[in-house]
Amino acid sequence: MRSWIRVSFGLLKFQGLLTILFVYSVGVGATTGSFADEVKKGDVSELKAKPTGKKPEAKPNVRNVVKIPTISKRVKKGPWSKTGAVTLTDLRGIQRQMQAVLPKARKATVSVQIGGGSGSGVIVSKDGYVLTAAHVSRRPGLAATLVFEDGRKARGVTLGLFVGPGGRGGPDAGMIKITQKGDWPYVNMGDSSTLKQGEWCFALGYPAGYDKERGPVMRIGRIIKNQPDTLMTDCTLLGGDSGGPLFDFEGNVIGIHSRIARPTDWNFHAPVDAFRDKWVEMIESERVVYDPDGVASPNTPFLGVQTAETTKGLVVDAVVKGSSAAKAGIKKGDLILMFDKKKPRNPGRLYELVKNKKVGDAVIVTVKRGKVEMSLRIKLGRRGLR
Amino acid sequence: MKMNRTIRWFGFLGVLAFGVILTGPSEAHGQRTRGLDRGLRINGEGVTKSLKPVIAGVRRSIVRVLGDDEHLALGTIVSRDGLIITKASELKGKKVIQIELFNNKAFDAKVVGKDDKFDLALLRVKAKALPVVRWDQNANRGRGTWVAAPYLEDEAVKLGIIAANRRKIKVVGGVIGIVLGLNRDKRGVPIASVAPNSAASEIGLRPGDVISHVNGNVTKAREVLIKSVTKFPPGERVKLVVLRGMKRMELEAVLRDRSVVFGDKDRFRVANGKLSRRRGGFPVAIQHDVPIRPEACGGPLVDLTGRVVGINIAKVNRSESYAIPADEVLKVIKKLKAGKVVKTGREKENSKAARKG
Repeated sequence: MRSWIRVSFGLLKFQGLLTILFVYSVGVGATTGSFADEVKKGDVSELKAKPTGKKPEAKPNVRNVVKIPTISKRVKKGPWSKTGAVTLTDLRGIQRQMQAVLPKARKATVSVQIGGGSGSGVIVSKDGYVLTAAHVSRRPGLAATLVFEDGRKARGVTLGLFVGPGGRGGPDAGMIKITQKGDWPYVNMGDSSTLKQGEWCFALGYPAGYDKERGPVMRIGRIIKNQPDTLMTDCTLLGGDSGGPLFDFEGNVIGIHSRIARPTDWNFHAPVDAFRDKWVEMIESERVVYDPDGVASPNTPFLGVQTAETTKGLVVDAVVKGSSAAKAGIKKGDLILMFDKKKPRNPGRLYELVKNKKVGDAVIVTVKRGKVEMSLRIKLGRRGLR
Repeated sequence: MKMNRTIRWFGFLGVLAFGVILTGPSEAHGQRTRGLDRGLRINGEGVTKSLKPVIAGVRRSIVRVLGDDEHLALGTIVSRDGLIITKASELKGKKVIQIELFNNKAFDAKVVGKDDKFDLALLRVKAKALPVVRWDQNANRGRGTWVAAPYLEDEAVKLGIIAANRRKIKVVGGVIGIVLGLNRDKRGVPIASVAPNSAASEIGLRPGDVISHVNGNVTKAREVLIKSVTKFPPGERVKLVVLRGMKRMELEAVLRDRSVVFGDKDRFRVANGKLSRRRGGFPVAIQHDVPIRPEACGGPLVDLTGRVVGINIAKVNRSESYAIPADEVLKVIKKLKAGKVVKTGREKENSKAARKG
């Protein structure tokens, strides 16, 4: 509950400051004539699937074998690992290493087209799992087209999301599975938790959509901040970069481009660890909700009301769709008089009372609507998975 | 022109943005740090001071180009006896061109010639023994090559990398400055509103007017109208047939840059400061992520050896800039020295129109 409120406050505070990096190709096509036109011209040829005699599955069957990608650690030390001031020799070393790992990184970076929109993505397994931003993949089960640097195309379907409550914020992690059979070019998933401020990194992506002549665009920068739900770098991103990869200097993906704000060094990426942490859920097309307090674990009970303390008592400001509270019929404006025989005076106290229960516990909640008092029997759901 | 579509599209984006915008660093984490020291970020001192030996030599070959006492661009010295290359379109309309050397010595400059395709101008000043840049003519310098843009000011330099394939850059279309109406009109496309500071407001277009022809082509469909205007760059004249009530008017509009007319509506491109007026229509260019200032165009882009890999020609947005590659610059210099003036088709037309006018 509390985190949900915080998000709403955050929204007010940051509204208009951050810009998501998704591009609608309708608009882009009209403005720059770049992407939409190219595709219509037949400039991009379809990648042929190897004849297998089987139709590509609409939804990949992943429940049988779930192999969580291992962490590809940074083992090589070099000037790119330095976190302080650099010398000219350092820059030369950085350049050499950057050019050594670039070809593989480029091959695995794709333009992602879903509906009328265009973002970026990166392939992280031979069988075609693609990391992207949640605001690019939008929801599970959508048809996606991936376009490679050389213009070849592959079909895919969107999988689960790892996002903040209500779809806002959080890691903004999304995934796609290529549904065509094939051995796809891929890069390994690195380790974002151990990234230090000042480590060098580089970004690839398709800003403003796919452009064959231009190819994927590269940017260089350093890690400015490393937080559990977001990485900040000075790799300057643009619209259309969303979902594109941020690499360490061994060519491992460490982040996925998510959003920017006006200053050129405000570029935010979903940390790759977020994908690994929720790998199973995401490939099973679940929507995982990020909760900074860690209360989103499957065993944390969830009522689903946002409340405020008033002179009349604890009043319901909003009810989370699909939550236990919603199912029980609690409505906006209701006063919460009792929760399990205890009186919650403020949102914090209610939060404590809910937290001390277990998922699946049935509690009696007494609410007052107008002049009517009702006692409702509510079975607590779980936070995060709605 | 395309404002209407833009508005709808940004409206959509806006809604989406509201939905996806993040809270920023969560205070609950107790991890609200200031982040990497500014001096250590890519264009902080802790990084760029390493370029001191690289740019020491080049800086003396950079000049400030002034037009009627206004700083227009940088220039790069290409011959000991006073030839300087710079960005041509920045000189437009200026009567007196002067250059200033690194030691603040000023010279009057004459325009030897212009190549409007590459947007380069060759200047000559009466001077001797000027420090000339060293060129790197390797046409295959690809992504991940460090490049730096030195300025005239002491040790000022910006760093970045070559970011994409060397290629032709398309023309960036200009706008009339109208928002198209959604209601249908058999005769053409109705105007919903007119942007101030645009060609449309200048020639007196009004909401309710209907545009039936552009350059003689019938524009009944919005898409046709949009296409037939935006295929021309800012500065280009288009002929319009405008219907107002029973009146039929033939008007000419000089297109303007969409970012000038509609402001920072291009949210997804987030301008971050001024952009170059001419940002497209180059036959060949290198794309890099050095955050140059538009008035630094005409100056050199160097690699870590201090050799010039290109001449900066446009700041496009927060993360994209273009430079004309060294091998092409040298070809242009050769042509212009031989007295050849290269004009694009539209420049020819414009100069004709100007003479007529």
